[in-house]
Amino acid sequence: MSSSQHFLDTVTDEVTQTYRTIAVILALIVIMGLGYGLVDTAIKAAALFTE
Amino acid sequence: MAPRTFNRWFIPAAGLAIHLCIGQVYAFSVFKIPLMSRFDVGEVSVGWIFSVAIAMLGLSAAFGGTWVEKAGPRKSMIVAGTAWVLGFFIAAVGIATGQLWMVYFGYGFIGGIGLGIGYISPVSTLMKWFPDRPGLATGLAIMGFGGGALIASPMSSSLMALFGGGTETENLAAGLVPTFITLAISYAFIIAAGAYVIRLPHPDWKPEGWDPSTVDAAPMQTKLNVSANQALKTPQFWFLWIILFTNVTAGIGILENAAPMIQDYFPGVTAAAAAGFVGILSLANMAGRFVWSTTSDYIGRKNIYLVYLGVGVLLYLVLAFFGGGSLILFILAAVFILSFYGGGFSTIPAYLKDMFGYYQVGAIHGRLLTAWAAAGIAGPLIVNSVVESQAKAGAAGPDLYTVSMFIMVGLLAVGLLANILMRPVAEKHTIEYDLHH
Repeated sequence: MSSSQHFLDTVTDEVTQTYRTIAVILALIVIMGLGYGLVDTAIKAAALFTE
Repeated sequence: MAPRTFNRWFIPAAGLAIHLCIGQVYAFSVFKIPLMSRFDVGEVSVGWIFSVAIAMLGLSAAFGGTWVEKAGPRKSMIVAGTAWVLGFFIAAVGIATGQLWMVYFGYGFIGGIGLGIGYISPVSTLMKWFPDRPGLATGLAIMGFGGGALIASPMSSSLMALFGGGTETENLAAGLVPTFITLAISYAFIIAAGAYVIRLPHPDWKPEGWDPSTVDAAPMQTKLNVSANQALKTPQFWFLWIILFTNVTAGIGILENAAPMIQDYFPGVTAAAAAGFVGILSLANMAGRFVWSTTSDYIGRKNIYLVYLGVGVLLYLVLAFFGGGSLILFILAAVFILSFYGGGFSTIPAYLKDMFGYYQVGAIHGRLLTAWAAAGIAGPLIVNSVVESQAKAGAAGPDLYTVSMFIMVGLLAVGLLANILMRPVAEKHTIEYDLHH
């Protein structure tokens, strides 16, 4: 059996709860960060039509 | 490596995470005045920090790309994150001790290495997770680089004011060190989480309902693979270099001068409204990275670049001939030009994958980014020198920019020709490669 095949056989079929939790938290941070940046920029951009 | 059954939508957040962090570099201008005050130096001395960082981005992407392919996304994201965070800490020490060279070395040199490695590290992995939608995948990640500045700019200003106790220049300068440290710690956590989450797909995994044989049906998508060194010997690599260079030069030409340009075209526009225009262009830049790159999955990479470059020519002509006549027309033309600028960045890795395959697409992407570095010098240089010479000749208002608009039209036409000449890579350049081993 090749070493790469042996490695592949050790890969489990489920992700751990820790992995799932960190992935979800990271996704939330990314979404909130983008939301903050977009709203702040949109407020500044509005000045073009209100000033 | 991910399990055989895995939700691939975990992966874009990991790619976005590092791009949002390193995208901070485009918000560097918020530190300019406080740094000038802290070190008692002029704009040029502080400007060099950004220039060194961007130069290192190009160099480390070009020379580190092959290593990124070999090391995989997790290791390369850790190295990139370490360099980026370390750069902030070294710069913070430099600011605290009054040593400007430490800011050049920390943020510019070490941080710049983090930028280059971090920029390319998630791209090829994302394309492997989305073989059915590579444009969407690269658009998602590279959108983060545009978005990073949108977050970092207001956040850095607020942090400097908070730590410095006010919004006056001396307050902001006093808040620099804790701001750098806070940003470094935040980026360390986010990039570490991204590196933990990112995984390569299992060899037995493929998107549900996706048939790899459909790739054969697409005329400009190869199933063959070309090494990074061999890619440099193909005309396709250099055509793509010209395409990226011309598209970026045209976009930077407007982006760098957006605020003074709109005020020269429309003297009634206030400074706050001009800043709002810059904000609109930033949004267009970011949105274009996602929207146009995703569109390229449906209409093809060559066709989307025909739009970027061909419609870009028309839009620059509109600006040159009618831009001063209508504010709305001026804004719309600039918004589309900037969305094409962003789209050009995010679609290029998918175009490279179509031409050269998955084998060393990250390394080839890294080498192609030298076009970005060259355009970063050429774009502002063209517009600034033309404006200066026109002003000396007595021109004013829109006339200051007309010549540079025509130069951009010429450049885009060259890029358009290079795109029209794109053909699949000759088989003699290809090698045997199994994506999954």
